[in-house]
Amino acid sequence: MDMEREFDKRIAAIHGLDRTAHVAGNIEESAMHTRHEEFQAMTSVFLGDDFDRGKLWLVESLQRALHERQTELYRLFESHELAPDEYVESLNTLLADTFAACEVILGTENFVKLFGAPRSELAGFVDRDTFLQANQPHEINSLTAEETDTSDTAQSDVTNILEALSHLSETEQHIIRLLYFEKLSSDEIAQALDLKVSNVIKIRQRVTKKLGKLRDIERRVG
Amino acid sequence: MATGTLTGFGLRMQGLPADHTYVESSDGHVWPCWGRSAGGKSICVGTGNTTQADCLSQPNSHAGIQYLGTGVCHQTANRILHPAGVFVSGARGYRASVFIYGTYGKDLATGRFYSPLLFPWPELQRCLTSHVHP
Repeated sequence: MDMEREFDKRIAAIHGLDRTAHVAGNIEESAMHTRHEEFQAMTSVFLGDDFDRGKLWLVESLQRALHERQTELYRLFESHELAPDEYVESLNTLLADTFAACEVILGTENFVKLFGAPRSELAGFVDRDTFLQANQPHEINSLTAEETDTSDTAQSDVTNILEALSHLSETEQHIIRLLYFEKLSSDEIAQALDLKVSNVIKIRQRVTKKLGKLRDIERRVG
Repeated sequence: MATGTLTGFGLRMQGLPADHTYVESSDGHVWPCWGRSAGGKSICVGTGNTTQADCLSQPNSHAGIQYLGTGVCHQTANRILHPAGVFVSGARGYRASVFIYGTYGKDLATGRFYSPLLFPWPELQRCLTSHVHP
């Protein structure tokens, strides 16, 4: 069995997906240690069970520090004390520093064994564009109701969307309502409208393409 | 119960060290997981309840993940693939993302990693409850 498959098997066992595996101990107590168990599974599979425990302890300490700092940064971002760009930059720096320290502790060869890639290839791990795109509505969400109502841009967006909606077929409009306002899944919509799931998915893709700003609506309404 | 095949895909992204991942089902679902949903290479496949996978993908195929806050596309794909019990571990950069966010994402309030059995994320609990059939 190759190492990737062994890793999957170990992770499946930790999460109770491997029905043959026995989950030992108190479930609540185990939940506290999921991070530690995943770390152990990764180091055991890719570095071996005999690997220097002192070094592993140091790397795990770095992981804990990384988590704490990442959570802190994200909270600053959520409270608008960090702009999206600043969050991405800070996170990238944090990751670069953490991986650099891991490499110093483990050595280059073992770093590659553990993470599956040299440190240089993990630089800039964060997909900045996806994050900025995902968080564009975050800024809109942060506006008060009054600000949203009086914003020319927002009003213009709503007008454009309503105008675009009026050009859709009745079925398409119905699907949009169920999908974006009633939050039904494609399967549930197919059932409600007596359509094939594949047809719902096709219509959904077509409509989403037509109305690139639907996500904004969903977030504002939701 | 709609049992079908769930497939995880890895897509190399120019200028990025990690592959983007997305998921498809044999019933025609395509869950982009924050990014592109075509042109990838199949990296894992399993059999599972595709209706439940679709429920888990909500909303917007983000599966309850806050991008770069509680996970990235790897954790999103793993959540959608949960009914099949497979992971996108063949994606480049996967181990680094698991080191940062865990297999199924992390909870910002407690710092704990989510786990279907031990610490289910809210969407999983909701989907399991709404898809239990007599």
